[in-house]
Amino acid sequence: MRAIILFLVGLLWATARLLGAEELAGEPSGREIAMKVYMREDGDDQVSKAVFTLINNKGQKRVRETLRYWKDYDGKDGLSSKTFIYFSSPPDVKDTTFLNWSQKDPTADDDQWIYLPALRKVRRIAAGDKENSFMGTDLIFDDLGDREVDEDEHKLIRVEHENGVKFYVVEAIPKKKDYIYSRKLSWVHAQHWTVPRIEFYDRKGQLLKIMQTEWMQVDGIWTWKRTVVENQQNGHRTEIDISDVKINQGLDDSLFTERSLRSGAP
Amino acid sequence: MALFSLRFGGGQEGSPWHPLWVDEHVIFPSVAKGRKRGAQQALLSLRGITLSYPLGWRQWLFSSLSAQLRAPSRCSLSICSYSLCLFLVFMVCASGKLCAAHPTAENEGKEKGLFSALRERVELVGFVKNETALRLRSPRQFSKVQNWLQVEVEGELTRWAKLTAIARVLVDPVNHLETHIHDFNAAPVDRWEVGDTFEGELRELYLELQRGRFDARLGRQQIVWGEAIGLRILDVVNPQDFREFILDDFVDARIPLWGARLNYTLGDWTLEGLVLPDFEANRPADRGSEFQFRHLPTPALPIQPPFPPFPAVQVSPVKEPADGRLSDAKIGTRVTRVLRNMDLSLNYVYAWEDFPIPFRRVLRPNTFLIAPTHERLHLLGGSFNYAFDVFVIRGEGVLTLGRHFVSDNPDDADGIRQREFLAYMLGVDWTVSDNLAVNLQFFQTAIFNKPSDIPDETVNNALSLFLRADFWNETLFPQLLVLYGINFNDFLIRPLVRYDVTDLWSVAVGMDLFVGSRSGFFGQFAACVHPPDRHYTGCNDRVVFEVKRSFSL
Repeated sequence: MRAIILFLVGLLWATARLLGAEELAGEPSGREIAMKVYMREDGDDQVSKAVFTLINNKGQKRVRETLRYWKDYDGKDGLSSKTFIYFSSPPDVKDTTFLNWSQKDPTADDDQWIYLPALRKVRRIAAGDKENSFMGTDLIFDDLGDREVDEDEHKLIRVEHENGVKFYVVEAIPKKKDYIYSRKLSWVHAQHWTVPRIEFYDRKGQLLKIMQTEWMQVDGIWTWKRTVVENQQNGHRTEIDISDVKINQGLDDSLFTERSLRSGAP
Repeated sequence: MALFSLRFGGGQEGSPWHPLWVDEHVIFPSVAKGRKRGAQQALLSLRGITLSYPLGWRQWLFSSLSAQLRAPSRCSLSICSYSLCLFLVFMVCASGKLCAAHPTAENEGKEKGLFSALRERVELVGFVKNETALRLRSPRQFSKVQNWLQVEVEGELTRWAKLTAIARVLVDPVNHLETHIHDFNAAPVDRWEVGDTFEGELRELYLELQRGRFDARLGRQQIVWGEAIGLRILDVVNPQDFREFILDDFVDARIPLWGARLNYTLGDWTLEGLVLPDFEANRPADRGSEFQFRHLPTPALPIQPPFPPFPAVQVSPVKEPADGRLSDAKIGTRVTRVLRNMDLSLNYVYAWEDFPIPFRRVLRPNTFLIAPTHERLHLLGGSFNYAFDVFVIRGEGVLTLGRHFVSDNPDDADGIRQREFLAYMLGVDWTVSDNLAVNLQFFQTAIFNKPSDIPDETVNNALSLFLRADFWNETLFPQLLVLYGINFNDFLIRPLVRYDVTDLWSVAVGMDLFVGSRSGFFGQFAACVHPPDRHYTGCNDRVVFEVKRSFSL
C-alpha cells in the first residue's frame, strides 16, 4: 500500500514538473536575475500619481492620493536614488511629504525625512522606520525604496510558465537579522524583468502578504500600472493605481531637499 | 514679603522654568492689543489711568479689516463684511469644486470657465471639530466646549507664486479658558470676538515665492525651529498663547507674526533669513480662568505695597516695540546643513523678551512705579539630529545673552538683573517595533553667575517621555506624554487615544493630569486651592474629548 502511495505521489510530482516547470540548469542564478530586475531600464527620473486604496477586513475603504517624484542617482554621491512623495488627499494628511535618499551601499541606512503639516516640522526618521507601515498601507518604507540587490541572498527556486510566459521564481533572504521579512518569493518575467507577484513571509516564516502588479510601458519603460497588496494574516488590502506617468522630465536636485518637504509638490 | 519673586528662571515658552512661573506679585499691566480700536489712537484703560498711543502699520495696511481683527467687540459692520467676504470666497471655491466633481450638461460649459480655472488653481481644505474638556475635580464641570471651523485656502497664482490663507472660527458656549480680564497683556491677537462665546481669527496669510535657489514666504506666518517634543526650546520666534497652559497643540498656541522669511538653498546648505516687523507678546491665561498662572494679582486684590515706605504703586503701560518699524523688527537667521545621517543647524535671533520686564523705581516719596518693558535679546542656538539603525539622537539649545530676571532685593535699583541663560534638550527617538515609537528627552536650563537675589533655580531639570503606538493599519493611535519636573518633583501626564473612523472622521479621548508640588511648573495645577477670587487654581485634572470632521472642496 505504501509503495502505491509513493508511486502516485511521484507520478503527480513528475507530471507537475513536466507541465509547469523546467530544470534549473542553464538558467541564470538568483542573483543574476535580481540584478536584471534591478538594472531594468527605468529612466533617469519619473513623476507619477498614485492612489492608495486601503481596505480593511470589513470592506471599509480609505483613500490616499499622492504625487511621486523619483530620480536615479546611479551611485553619484553614494546614492542609488532619491524619492519625494507628496500627499494631496485626504484633507487630514494633505501636504504631508516624505523624502528618501536611498544609499548605494547596502549596509548603510537610507536617509529619510517626513514633513507633518500638523507640526509644521520636518523630522528625520530612523532608517529602522523603513520597516513601519507606510501611511497605513500594507507596504513598508522599504517596499517603496530601492532595495539594493546585495541586501538579500537570492536563489532561483524554480521556473514556471503561465499563458506561454516564462517566469523565474526567486527567493530573497535578507542578510540583516530580524528584518521584518524572513524571505520573499518573487515571480520575475523572464523577458521584461518585471515582477508581477511577490510573496512576503514574516519573521516566523508564515506567509504575510502577497503583492500582485500589473505593468505598463511608458516611453518604452516598464512601470507599475496597478498593484494590489493583500495581507494574508489580517485580511487588510491595499490597492495602488498609478497614472500620469512621465519619464525623463529632467527633475532638478533641488526637488529632493528639505525645502520641498516644506513647500510641497512643485 | 518679597516684592517680586517672579521666577525668571526659565527661558523658553512652555518650559517648566518659564518666566510666568509666578510666586508673588507680578505686574503685567494691560496694554491689551485686543482693546485697540480702529483709529490711529487707541484708548487704554489701566487701573483708572487713560492712556493713548499710536497704532502700527498693519492698521493702515488693513484698515478695513484689522481693526476688527484685533479688537474684541460686538458684531460690527466690518466684522460682518469680513465674514461675508470669507463666506463668499468659501462658497465660490466650493461651487467650483463641487461643479467640477459632478459635471452636468448644464454646467459643463461654465465648468470650462471660471470654475475650471478656480478648480485648477484653488484648493480648500479644513475641518470642523469639537473639543470638550471636563474637569475631574471640584468644580466638576465642562471647562471648554469648543466648536471649531478652520479653513485653509491655497491659491496658485503662477508656477512660482502661491497664496495661502488660514482662518478659523470658534464657538464655545462654556469657555472657562477666558474671563476677558486681560490685564496681563493677555489680549486677543489678530482675532475678533463677539460676546463671550464666539471668536474668529485670521491665523495665517502668506505669499510664497520660489525662483531658482531662492524661496520666500511673505505675510503672517509661523516659524518653526527645533527638534523637541512637548516643550519649546529652539522654537523661539513666535510668541505663545497660554490660555490653555501648554496643553494646546503648538501649531494652535503659536501666535503668528507678520514678516518675511527668505531661503537660499545651495546643495546641502540652506541659509534662512527672517525679518518680522511685527510685535506680539506672549499671552498668559486670563485672571480667574481655568489655567491662570497662580499667585497673579486680581482686580479684587490690588497689588499690595510690599514695603512700608511705599504705600502706593503705580503701573505704567507696557512699553512695546512698534509694529512696522524696521529697527524694532525681530531679525533672525539660520544655517542648516544636511549630512550623511545627520542634520545640523545654527540659529540666531535678535528678539524681544516675550513677557514684559517689570522694571521698578521710586516715582516720588511714598510712590512706587512699575514700568513693564519689552527688552531686546540676542539668542544664539543650534540643533542636530543623528540617525542610526532604529534610533535618532536629537538635540537643541539656546543661549540667551542678557536675559532679564526679577530680583527680590528691595535695594536693587530697578529690580531687574541680567544674566546669560542656557536652555537645551537632548533626546532620542527609538523605533521599538513596527507599531511602537518612543521619545525620551532631557531638558536643562542654567543661569550663569546667578546672584542670590534671583529666586529662580540656578539649574533646572526636566524629563519627558513620549510613547506612540498604532494599530489596525494606522487607524488607532494610543499615545502617552509624560513631562516630569525634576527640581520640584511634579508631573504632567497626558494619555490619549485617537481613532480614525474614516478618512474624514476621527474621534479622540484623553486625560491631562497634574501631579506634584505646587511650586512646580506642572504641579501648580495639581493641588486644590480655591482662594475666594479664583476658582481654578489647582485641581485642573481633566478629561478631553474630540470629534473631528475634515473636508476638502
